[in-house]
Amino acid sequence: MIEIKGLKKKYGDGTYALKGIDLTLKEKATAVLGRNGAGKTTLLRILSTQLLPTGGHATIDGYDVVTDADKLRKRMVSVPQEAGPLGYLTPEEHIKIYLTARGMSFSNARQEAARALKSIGLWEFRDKTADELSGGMKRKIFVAMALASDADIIFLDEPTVGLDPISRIEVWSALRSLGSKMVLTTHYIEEAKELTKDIVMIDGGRAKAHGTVERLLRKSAGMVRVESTTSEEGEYKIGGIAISYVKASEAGRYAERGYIVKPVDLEDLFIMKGEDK
Amino acid sequence: MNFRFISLYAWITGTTAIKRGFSYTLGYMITPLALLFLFGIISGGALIPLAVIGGLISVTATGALYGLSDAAMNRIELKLQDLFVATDISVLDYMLAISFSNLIFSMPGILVYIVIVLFMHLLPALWLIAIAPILVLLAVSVSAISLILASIPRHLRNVWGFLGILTVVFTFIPPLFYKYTALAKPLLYIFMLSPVTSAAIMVQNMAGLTPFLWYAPIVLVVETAVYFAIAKPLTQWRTK
Repeated sequence: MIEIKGLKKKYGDGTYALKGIDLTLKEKATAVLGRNGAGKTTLLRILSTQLLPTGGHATIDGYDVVTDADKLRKRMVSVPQEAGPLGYLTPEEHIKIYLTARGMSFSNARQEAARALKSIGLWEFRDKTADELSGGMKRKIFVAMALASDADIIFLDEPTVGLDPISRIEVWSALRSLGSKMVLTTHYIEEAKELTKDIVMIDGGRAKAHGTVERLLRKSAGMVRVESTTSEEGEYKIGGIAISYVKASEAGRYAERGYIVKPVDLEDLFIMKGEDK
Repeated sequence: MNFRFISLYAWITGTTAIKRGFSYTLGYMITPLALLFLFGIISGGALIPLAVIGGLISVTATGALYGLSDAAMNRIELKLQDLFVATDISVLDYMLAISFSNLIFSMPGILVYIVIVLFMHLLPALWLIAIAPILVLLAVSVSAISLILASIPRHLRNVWGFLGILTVVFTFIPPLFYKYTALAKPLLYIFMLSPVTSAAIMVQNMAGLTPFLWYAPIVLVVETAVYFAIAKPLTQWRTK
């Protein structure tokens, strides 16, 4: 279980990335959703012992992320956002180095690297240098590191950014097969729903909502989203699109006026909780 | 200490850097070789022994200085340091891995200079056994300095400029290509803050080019221990 109490992070330039987050994560997998700059990566970096918080506390299975970092590091894997491989090394070499850093023997590292590369569709590229691989394949190297590890907890920061649809499905399938607890950040609503039941929405350094998809959507039950590119009327303005949320019974009236009507989904919670009116 | 990680990282990154990026290997060799040529021409051959000894120290130190760009690249651009922070390894494991990786990367240059040393009969072959630990201490101590300094730049572009300055400070200004006896004592003591100076003095002594300086080995060992020890608190490992 991950418990977070009043977690704050203020960077050297005075920016508050986290303004006091309180959360209890009990589920096997949790997705942290939020816009760019919402504080997702900062939260994940603090939980994975890479970054020190300015205030508050966070524990994982009772271990404090600041004072018990050494104990936690033996049990976790963290794949940073925008991590890049060394261009002159192969995927297999990367994974073997990483696994020995986690304390694995050479022979186990070789076996586990092979298993992970096969499971994620990188086996045929194992001897290519990273410079010869596409951006998506480079990203897969890091996911393969997580798959090859024997960690209890895996932190993934935007694991499928830049992957094509087929590769994304391969990664999801591999991640679903893991027995480990997983916390991931993502921009993709579809990914969050695909991999987890537990969703945290953060914005402006604060947790705005937490629960299952059904629970999060409960408040907007009976509502539909109406949007228009021509009308100026709308509760929310995103680019040139005016968006409003209305009762489902009024949907027909809006449709007649040329509005596009859609059922409310998680994406709309982003808009409602994150966008300024 | 995680010796498995240190050895695998050093071996894979060190050997592949030679195999898959040979231009860099030539890059660190070319400056001391050019100096050897110039010194030979200008002095009518008299300064060649000094230029050879200086070159041997220079290629080892330059390889270790490349640790600065490796560590900064891993931290700023590739985020690999974050990946390693959240594992079992310590900053000292990481530092040693980078040190030995760059020592392996420096091997072609070191071998070229050893061949020249033997060809010119500057040192008996058996003395090479004594040079090996000097070069290892030099690589580890300069790598420790590199890793500490790699924590400073926030932008990768500054790293290249920084590296250029350090290369001059570490491999041109100290008495690598000239006799340490040419320096006034206070200046010598200042230059001895860099492990490159004591390593160069020791090899100059062994080749009979300069009078024996008894405290040079002590300074090198102490400096290596000190730089290694302060690397842990001074290196930015877990981000604050």
